[in-house]
Amino acid sequence: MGKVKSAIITVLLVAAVIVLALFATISCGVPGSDGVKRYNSFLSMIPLGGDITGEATAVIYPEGVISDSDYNYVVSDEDENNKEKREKYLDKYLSKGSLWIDKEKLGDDDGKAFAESVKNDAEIISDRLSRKGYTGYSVTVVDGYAVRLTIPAGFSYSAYKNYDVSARSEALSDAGHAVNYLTLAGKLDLRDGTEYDSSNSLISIKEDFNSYIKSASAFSRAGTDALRIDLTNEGFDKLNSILTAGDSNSSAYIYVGETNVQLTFTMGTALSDKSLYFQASKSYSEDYAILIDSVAKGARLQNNYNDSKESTATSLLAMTPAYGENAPIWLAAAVGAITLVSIIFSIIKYKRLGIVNSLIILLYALAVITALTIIGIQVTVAGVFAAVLGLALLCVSNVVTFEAVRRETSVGKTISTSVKTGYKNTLFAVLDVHVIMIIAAAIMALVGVGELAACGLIFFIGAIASYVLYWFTRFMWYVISSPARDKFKFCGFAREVEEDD
Amino acid sequence: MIKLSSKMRLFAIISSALIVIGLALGTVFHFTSDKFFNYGGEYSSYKSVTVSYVYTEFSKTEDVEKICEDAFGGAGLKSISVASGKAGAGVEITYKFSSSADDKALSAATEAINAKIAEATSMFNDIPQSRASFHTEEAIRGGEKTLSRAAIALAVVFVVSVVYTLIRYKLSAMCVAAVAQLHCFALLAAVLALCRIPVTSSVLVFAVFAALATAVCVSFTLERICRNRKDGDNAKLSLAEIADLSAAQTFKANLVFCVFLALAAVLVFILSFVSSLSLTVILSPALCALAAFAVSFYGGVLFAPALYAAFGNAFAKSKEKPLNNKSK
Repeated sequence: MGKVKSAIITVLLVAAVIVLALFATISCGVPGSDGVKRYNSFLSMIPLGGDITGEATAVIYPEGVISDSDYNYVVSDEDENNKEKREKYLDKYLSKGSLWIDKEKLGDDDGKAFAESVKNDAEIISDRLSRKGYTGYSVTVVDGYAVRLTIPAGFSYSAYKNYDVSARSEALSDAGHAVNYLTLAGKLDLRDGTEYDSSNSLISIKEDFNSYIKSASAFSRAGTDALRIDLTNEGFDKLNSILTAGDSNSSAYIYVGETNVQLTFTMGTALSDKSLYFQASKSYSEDYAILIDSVAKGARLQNNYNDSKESTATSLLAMTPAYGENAPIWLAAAVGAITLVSIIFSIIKYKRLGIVNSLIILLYALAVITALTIIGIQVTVAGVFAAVLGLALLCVSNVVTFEAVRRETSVGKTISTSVKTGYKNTLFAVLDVHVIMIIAAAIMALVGVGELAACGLIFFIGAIASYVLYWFTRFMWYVISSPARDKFKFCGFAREVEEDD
Repeated sequence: MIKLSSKMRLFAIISSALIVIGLALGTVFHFTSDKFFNYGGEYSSYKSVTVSYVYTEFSKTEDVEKICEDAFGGAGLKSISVASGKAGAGVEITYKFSSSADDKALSAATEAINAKIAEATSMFNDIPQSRASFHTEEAIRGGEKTLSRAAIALAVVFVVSVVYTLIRYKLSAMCVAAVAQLHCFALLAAVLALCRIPVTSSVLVFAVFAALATAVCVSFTLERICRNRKDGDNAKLSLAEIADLSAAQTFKANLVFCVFLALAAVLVFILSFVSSLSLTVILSPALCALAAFAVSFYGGVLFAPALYAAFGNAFAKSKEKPLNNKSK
C-alpha cells in the first residue's frame, strides 16, 4: 500500500474514533441554548443497575395493617377533634413487631393464617418480579405482615445525577408502575365503568373472565410496544358477544380485583382476531402482561395492598447505591484505568504495533458503549466485568497472534510472510475460543434470568466485537505499517537472522 | 519449562482435598442451617432499623446518622449496609443487620434513637414526626429461579463446549475439556462452600465467567497440543513431553488472560471500596471474582495439560489412536 493511501485511511479512522469518543463520553450544554438544553453522552445514557445507581424500595401493607409511624401519628395526637379516631385506633389495632394489625384480621389463631397469606402473596409478587427481567430484586416479608419490594431504580448516569430530569422521572414512574401493578390482588373482570362498582361487571356471575385468556405477553415491533392478549376460542366468542351487544358510544375496561388497569375495549365493535393488542410503553406493557398472565393462570394475591384509607400511600424511595454515591464515577475510572493499562502494556511490548492494538482497544470500548446505549441493557458491576472479559479476549487473541508472528520472524522470515503464517497458525485457536464464547454468551442470555441474562448479552456483544476487531487488527497493521521502512522495528521484534538480499 | 505432566498426582491431591473438604462442609451446613452455600444479598433474610426524619426537625442527614451510629455503637451493633432515600418531606435511612443480630440489642438501640430524636426535637413539637423502627425481614426465595436458571445455563455451556471440542478434536481431547470444566465447577463450588463467601447473583455471574475463562485456557492449550503433535520435530516427543511443551508455549497467553481479569477485578473492587468505604459491601463479589480467576488459572493452565498427559497415556494404552486435529 502506498504512503498516501495509508495516511488517508489512518487519518480517517483516527478522526472517526476521536469524534465517536467525544460523542460517547462528553456531556455538555448544547451551544446556543444558553444552558437550557444539554447533550448527554452515550456513556451517561446507559441504564445502570441497582448496585451502581441505587435501588427503589417500597413497603406495601395489606388491608388491616398499618405502620408504626402511621399508628403513632394518630394515637399521639391529643387534639380533641382527633379523639374519636384515636380511640378507634387504640381499640382496633394490636402491636405485632413494628406493625399494628386489625384485631379482626388476626382472628382466633393470633394471626398465623393471616401471616401465611401475606407470605404466599409475597411469593407470587416475587415470581411476578422475576419475570420483569430486573438485574437484581428482592422481596421480603416485614415483621410477618407487610411486604418490602426492592428493585433497581433503573437510572442512567444522567438521570441519577439529575442532569436529565425527564429520564429520572420516567425511570421512577416505571418502577412505581411496576410496584403498583404487580401487587394488585383479585381476579380479572370486564366492567363498563371507569370506577369500580360491584354491579358494573359485564361478565355474568356464572362465567369467569380469567378462562377467556390463554396468555398475555409484551410485544414490540418497529419501536412500538404493546401488550398482547391471546384469547381462547371460547373467550373470543364470548367476548365478541359481550362487546357487540353493547352501546357503540361506551367502553369496557379490564379490572384486576377492584382496580381499573386502563385497558379499554370499544363497545359495539366486533373483534377480528383472537390476539388483542393494547399499545403502551415498554415497561408498562411488560407490567400488564405479567399481571394478566399471572392472574389468568391462577396466581392471585389474597390480600389487598396499598389501601390509602388506612395508611399513607405507598411511597417509592430511590435509595443510595450500595457502592456509595459516587459509584458510577469510580467504576468508570476503574474501567478507564483497565483500558489505559492494556494500552500502555501493548505499546511497551509491541512499540508502534502496540499503537495499532491501542486503536483497536479504543474501538472495542466505543463499540460496546454504543451497543449498550442502543440496546438499553442494564449494566451492573458484573456486567462491566462481562465487557472487560470481552476486552481480555480481544487482547489475548492479539497477543497470541503477535507472539506467533514474532516466532516466525525469529527464524528469519520477512514480516509479511511471518504475519501470514502467524495468523494462519493461530486461526483455529482464536476461532475455537470465540465460537465457544459466543455460544456460551448466547446461552447465558437466553437461559439465564436477571443479571445473568444481562451479562450474557453484554458478553455476547463483547465476544462478537472481539472477533471482528481481531481481523480488523490485521487490516490496520497492514495499513499503518505500510509507510514504515523498518517493519521489524515497527512491531518491536528483534531481527534474529539477517536477511539475505 | 515446568514438567506439569509429572505433577498430576499432586494436582489430583490438591483438588480432591479442596473439593472433599468444601463439599463436606457445605453438606454439614446444609443439614444444620439449611444453607449449603452462604446465601447473601437478595437471597438472605436480615434485620433492619429504619429511621425516617423530616426536614422541619433535622436539616442534615449527618445529624441523624450520628444519633443512630452512637446508639448502635453503644449497643455493640455493626450494620452490614446503610442506604438512604428522599421520602416526601424528609429522608428515610435504612440500616441493615445480619439475621443473627441480637433482637434485644436492636430494640434497645431503636429506643435509644427515638429518645435522642425526641430530645433533639423537643423545641419544635411534643410529638416528633421523625421516628426509628426495628424490623425483621424474611427473604422470599425468588432467587431460586435465578439459581436454577444459572445452573441450567452452566450445564448447557458445559455440554456445548464439550461437544464442540469433540467435533474439533477427538475423544481424548473431549475428555480433557469435560473433566477440566467439571473440575472448575466442583472446585469453585467447594471454595464458595469452604470460605462461606456470600452467594449473590453477581457471584453466580462470576462462577459462569470462571467456567468460560477455563474454557479459553483449555482451548488454547488443546489447540497447541494438536499443532505440536503434527509438527515434524515435536511429533517424536512423548505425550507427556508434548503436553509440557504446549503448556509452556501457551503459558504466557493464558497468564496474560487470567492476570488481566484478576487485575481488573482488583482494580474495580479497590475503587468500589474507595467509593463505598465499606468492606462488607465489596468483600463477597471481590473474593468470588478472585477465587473464580484463580480457579480458572489453576484448572486451565496447570491442571488441564497434566490431565491431557494422563488421559493420553491411558488412551494410548487402550490402543486408541491418539489425539488428531481434524480441522486441517
